Amino acid sequence: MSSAPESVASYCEAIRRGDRRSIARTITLLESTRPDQAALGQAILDALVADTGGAIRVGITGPPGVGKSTFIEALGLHVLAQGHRVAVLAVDPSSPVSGGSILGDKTRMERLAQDERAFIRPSPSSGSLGGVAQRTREAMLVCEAAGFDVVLVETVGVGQGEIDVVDHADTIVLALMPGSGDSIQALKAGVMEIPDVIVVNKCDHPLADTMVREVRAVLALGPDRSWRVPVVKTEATRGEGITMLRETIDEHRALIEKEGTLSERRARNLRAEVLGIAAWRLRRDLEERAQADPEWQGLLDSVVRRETDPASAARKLLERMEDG
Amino acid sequence: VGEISAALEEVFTRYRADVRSVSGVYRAVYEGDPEFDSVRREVEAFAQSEGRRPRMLVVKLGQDGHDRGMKVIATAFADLGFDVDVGPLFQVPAEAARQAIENDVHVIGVSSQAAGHKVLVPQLVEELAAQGGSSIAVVVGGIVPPKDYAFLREHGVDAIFGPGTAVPQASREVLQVIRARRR
Repeated sequence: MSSAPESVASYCEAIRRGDRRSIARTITLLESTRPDQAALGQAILDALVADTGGAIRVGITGPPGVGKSTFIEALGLHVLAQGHRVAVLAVDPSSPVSGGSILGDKTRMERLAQDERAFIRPSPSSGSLGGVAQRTREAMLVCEAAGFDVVLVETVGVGQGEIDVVDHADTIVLALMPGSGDSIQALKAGVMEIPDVIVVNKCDHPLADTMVREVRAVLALGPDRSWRVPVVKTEATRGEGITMLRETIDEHRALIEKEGTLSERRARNLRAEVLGIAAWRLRRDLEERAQADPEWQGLLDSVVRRETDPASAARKLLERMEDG
Repeated sequence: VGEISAALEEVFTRYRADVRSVSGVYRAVYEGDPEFDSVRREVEAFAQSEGRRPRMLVVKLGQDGHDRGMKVIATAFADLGFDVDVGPLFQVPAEAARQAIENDVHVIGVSSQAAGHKVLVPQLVEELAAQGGSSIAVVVGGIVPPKDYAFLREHGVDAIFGPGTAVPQASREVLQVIRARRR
């Protein structure tokens, strides 16, 4: 633990061996809000980065209650049966009031959690210095270095924050269920370009075919691309449609590999990540200074007193920041 | 029975006892309670100094389906600011140990109502040691006869909470147990 002098090299060696304890500890370090621990995590990640990038990365998102965990378990068991090793990284919401969280993923993925070739790590959405999207990606890299060749990233919801979490995936799966009309609204409202595959789970529901038709109708309005977003029906508790889903994910990956969009996509994500981390740090610095600097506080107060408008106050803050 | 169950499972799929829990309930009741607030401040201080919130895995081991207590504890501790992992029902000690290690929790809370504690809890402690998780603390809550307390403590249990323990008090003790383990 914190007192034991564990070196970066010994961590790396253990992770490459697939040692669960070391993988788990390293993810904790990367999630830490303590700069010294986060720095150790970064050093380990830095040493491992050459061993990463080898996995099939699938991001899964969708509103709560559509059965994501159930079908991630079914998908995970399916790829294990094909001889892969699978890591599942799940983000569960932290309470904005208490800061605490209830993480129940292994309850929902009981069979997958028992398999030696699987690693499941739920993480609370709050905490860490770099934001949830960054550390999920870092955890994914640790899993890749440990030899997991399929990584499934799960997040709840379809908002921008959730999209950021799965954005590093090669294939993004949006899970819906019959009768959830609001998710169709979300599709229309602009997240339509995000998913590569849409799953309609719980397809034994009487409204399943209506749902599939509606989704297809919305998709038909979208831009013409070389990949037409397929709609796959699953009934995850029985394992129905999972083979089909797996084949669809493979097809998507084969296409983006052939077209060169996989490397393009990963390059774009890496560039965006650097800017994202930098932006996150700048924001943190800004907030810290706003807390500490009386001159800045005066400026903020003047906005509250309606003596300055927010936009010009922000401009003044930035000018002072440049002046040092 | 096994064959009949297997035949039925093929048609109906296996029943899974989902542990559903809600957050916020406990906080709503205790809002403004000085003891509750002081524990919350302690949890915040822990999160500041350790770089993350105290993380606890609550488990049910063996043939013990009484999960109400586990749910209450999960909700209450989350409302106090803990990150709480909830294990599935009917877990065996080896699986619970592995889950604790993968999730890198500080402490496992065993909820026991079916008198399996003298066998299952020592097995859990052994499994933790065998899998490299000996730094993880173990606490037990539920129906444990006081005459078994000494036995459990000898077998690596850090704290035991009997019926009627107030949650703020229990969570404060859990924090102390975690701190003591880290030294």
